[in-house]
Amino acid sequence: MKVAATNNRGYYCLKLATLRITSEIDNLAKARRFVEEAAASLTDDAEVIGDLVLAVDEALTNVIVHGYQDAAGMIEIEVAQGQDALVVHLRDRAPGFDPTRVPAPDINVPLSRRIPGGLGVYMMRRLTDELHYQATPEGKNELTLVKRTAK
Amino acid sequence: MNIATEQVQAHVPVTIMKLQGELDASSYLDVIAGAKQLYQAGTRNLLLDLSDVSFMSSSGLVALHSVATLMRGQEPLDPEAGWSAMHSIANDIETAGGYEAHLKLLNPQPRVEKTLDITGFKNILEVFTDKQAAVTAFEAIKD
Repeated sequence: MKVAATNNRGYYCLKLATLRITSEIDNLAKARRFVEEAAASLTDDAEVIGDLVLAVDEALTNVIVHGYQDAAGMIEIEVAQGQDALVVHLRDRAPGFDPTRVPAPDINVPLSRRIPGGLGVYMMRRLTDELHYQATPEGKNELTLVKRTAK
Repeated sequence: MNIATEQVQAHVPVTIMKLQGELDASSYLDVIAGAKQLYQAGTRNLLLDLSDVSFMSSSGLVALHSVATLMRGQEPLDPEAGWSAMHSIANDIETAGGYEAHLKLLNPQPRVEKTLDITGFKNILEVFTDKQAAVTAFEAIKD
């Protein structure tokens, strides 16, 4: 069932499907298939679908490995249809880090608190058209990935 | 992820490690462990057959980088080192003087090839589409 909504940026999004997973790397494959199927219902552009699935995998890996670390947590993956675009919202309650702002590494910060960056975030940026992060008032992280479907 | 190995003889002995499945954060450590075992058993030239790898994330790139380091006879960075590992990988790509001599790649699928391309890994790991050409590309280099 499609649910119409406007997100807080004021652009039109038709919610397609939502999946909730626990923060385990063994759940990445399930998440990828979910995004792939939802995206395929909106576009037959294999490159667009592939880019989005990979970008979402990178984002989820960061949340699981660096966000929640060893703690169990819930991650919500919502796929929505935007204006000539696929939109994926990832919501979690891990201690916040904003992957859209990757600072220079601080060698005095212990490894467990190092902010992830490097290849994964670089790939997310290259593979998506827009990347937005916000901390919600309820204390959740929300990362939005936008991939245009129109050429 | 399924891992199978094969030994062939070209100019030098070459081990072909064939990976099957998806290379992500849940499987990349197995690839590094597999390569480490091969090195300990005497492998000095490794060809990674990626024909059946349907997905690869940046975890896979960390695995490739670690395996390249192993094949040079060096200890790879702890994959849990996070940022410092990523920084080191990026640095290696920027300062690379050419292809790795002891690790080469065979037949990545288009999506995987795209990832190797956009991250600069194609500048350090030579990619082949033909198995024969790949194994004969390993030379007896005096290190």
